[in-house]
Amino acid sequence: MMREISIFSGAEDLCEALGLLWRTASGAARGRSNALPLETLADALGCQAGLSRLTALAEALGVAFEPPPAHVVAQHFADELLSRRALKHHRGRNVYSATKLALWNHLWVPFVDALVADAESLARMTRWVACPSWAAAPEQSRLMADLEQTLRAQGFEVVRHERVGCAPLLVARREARGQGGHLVLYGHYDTEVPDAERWRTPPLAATEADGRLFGLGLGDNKAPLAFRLEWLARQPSSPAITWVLQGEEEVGSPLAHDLMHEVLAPERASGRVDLWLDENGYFDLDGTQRLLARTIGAQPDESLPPDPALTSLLDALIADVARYGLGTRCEARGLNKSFFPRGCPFNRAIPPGGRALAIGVNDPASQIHAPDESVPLWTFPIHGRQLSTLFTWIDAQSSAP
Amino acid sequence: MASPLSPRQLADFERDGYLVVPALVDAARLAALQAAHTELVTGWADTLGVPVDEYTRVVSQWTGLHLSHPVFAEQVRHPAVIAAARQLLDSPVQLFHDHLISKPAHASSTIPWHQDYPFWPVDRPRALSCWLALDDVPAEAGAMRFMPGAHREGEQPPVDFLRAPKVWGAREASACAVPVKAGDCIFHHCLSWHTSPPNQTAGPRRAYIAILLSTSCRFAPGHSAWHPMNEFVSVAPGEPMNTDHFPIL
Repeated sequence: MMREISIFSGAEDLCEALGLLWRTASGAARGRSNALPLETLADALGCQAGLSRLTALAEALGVAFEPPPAHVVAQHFADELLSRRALKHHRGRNVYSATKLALWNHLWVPFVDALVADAESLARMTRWVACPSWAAAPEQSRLMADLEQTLRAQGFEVVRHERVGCAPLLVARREARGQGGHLVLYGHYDTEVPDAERWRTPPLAATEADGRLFGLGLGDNKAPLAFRLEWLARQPSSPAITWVLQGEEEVGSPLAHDLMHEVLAPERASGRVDLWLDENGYFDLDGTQRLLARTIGAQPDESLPPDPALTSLLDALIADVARYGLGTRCEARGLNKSFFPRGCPFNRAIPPGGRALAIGVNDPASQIHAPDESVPLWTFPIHGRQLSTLFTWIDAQSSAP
Repeated sequence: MASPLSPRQLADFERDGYLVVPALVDAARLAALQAAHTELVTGWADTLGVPVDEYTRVVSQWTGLHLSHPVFAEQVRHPAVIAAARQLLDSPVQLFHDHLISKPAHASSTIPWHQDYPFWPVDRPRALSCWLALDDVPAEAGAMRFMPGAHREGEQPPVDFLRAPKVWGAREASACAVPVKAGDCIFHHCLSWHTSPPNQTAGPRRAYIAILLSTSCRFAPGHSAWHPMNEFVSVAPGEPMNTDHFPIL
């Protein structure tokens, strides 16, 4: 567990959490799991140099962190290592978990909000995973209703486009709140049908392990959708937002292909949309972020290199991810959705000259469309920071000459 | 020893979920148990290459002592313990495991309110702990505290000791501290709610605990998939525990 240490997994919790902390502070590669051996962590963090790295990270991320004395941290690590050796050798241990708790509280707790997904988003993801939502599932309408209600509660006007035999296409619009500009987002609330026998965890029960959250449809697209909703609820200001959400992406988007151009006609015609943001995006397994940014060409979904304005946004996004000790690579293309014969209706609806971006929370271990689908919990705060940067950039675009 | 407990004691256990049996072991056995523990920790500290006082400051619980020292092996087969457990459970009994918990002077913490049974991989709450004080345990030394009668309210999910503690509210005033003398034993039902505060005295506070199951219990790994004893179970779920590692006493 990354947000709360547990008696049932405390040793793993500590190594996963402090492993992520140290990898971030030292700029080391992230991985499928970020756990490091306690011995490695003791060497890295049980000294003044290591604690200074944490102080620098705290400054970079805006975290309030008062480093404990190095000798105290070193003693905690030594005690925890002794307890683990005793357990392995003769079934002795520190029954009070005092050093484990001290290391958790002193080193990890100050950084937890900056380094893993927030509790509200995780709760929403857990709730949504439990709701079967492949296109033919009767329960899908329950998830759609939850989504619609949440958007309305945040002040969106939601139009439900329906057709018999199809999952509704939702188009939610909200006026600007204290910022200029206009953002159009895309997402979907359906999943594939799970092959439950090939999963190691129940596909409809969100399960946290190894610093990841496992569950059907999390990587595609429930986790980023849940996170963006919760993140938006916390923002004091925002540009105008149009959010288009469909429930049939995994079956080829029949309704969306028919209606997308029509429902987005106002945005397409206005020429005033600053950015078109796709459902998700990827980090490489070593933590390098893939920034998929492009200007749309004359043909539908045609990718041209980012224009100067979009390049300036990329520079700001690169600076965001650098705070976490990570690099980026930029590619002038959209998310790969070639497994659908007609492609992505949203991407095909972006008008020529539109600026399109795909960033998100997945990594190659997310295994979308496969058993054991998951999302890494460490990518969410980065995504949140980059969404803030998007808003700032959109606001600046709206006032640019 | 046929029936060491009186009907009154049995009724007290039934009502409260715990029972103190004074002077369960004599002074000689008590000294032997203390010496055996000292011998073991001295050897283990040496093996791990740390001074004994540093080792005992950190390591506070040892499981399976009856497999490590003959004095503890004798103790789990102590006739008075077995006879009392049989009476309290109204059943033949089987050892689940033993452990010793130490609360070193000024170097321990609270064990929060919890029930034991939710942590065990057995199918029914017909079990108890025999909590033998190896040192005098006045209230300020981390004496056990019980919520009398709470065992009759059924099983609750296992308490995560690292998270928010159980809150009793006004009922907290009904909790009973149970100070004991070295050699006294507290038998407590596996569904009893109990806790212990830190040892705030300058002396040691060690308790040797044997967990005894009714032989009617069956292996139920789904009840506690992570328990460290699971690796010693060689039977299928639903079967009696294997008697090589979990002997009938």
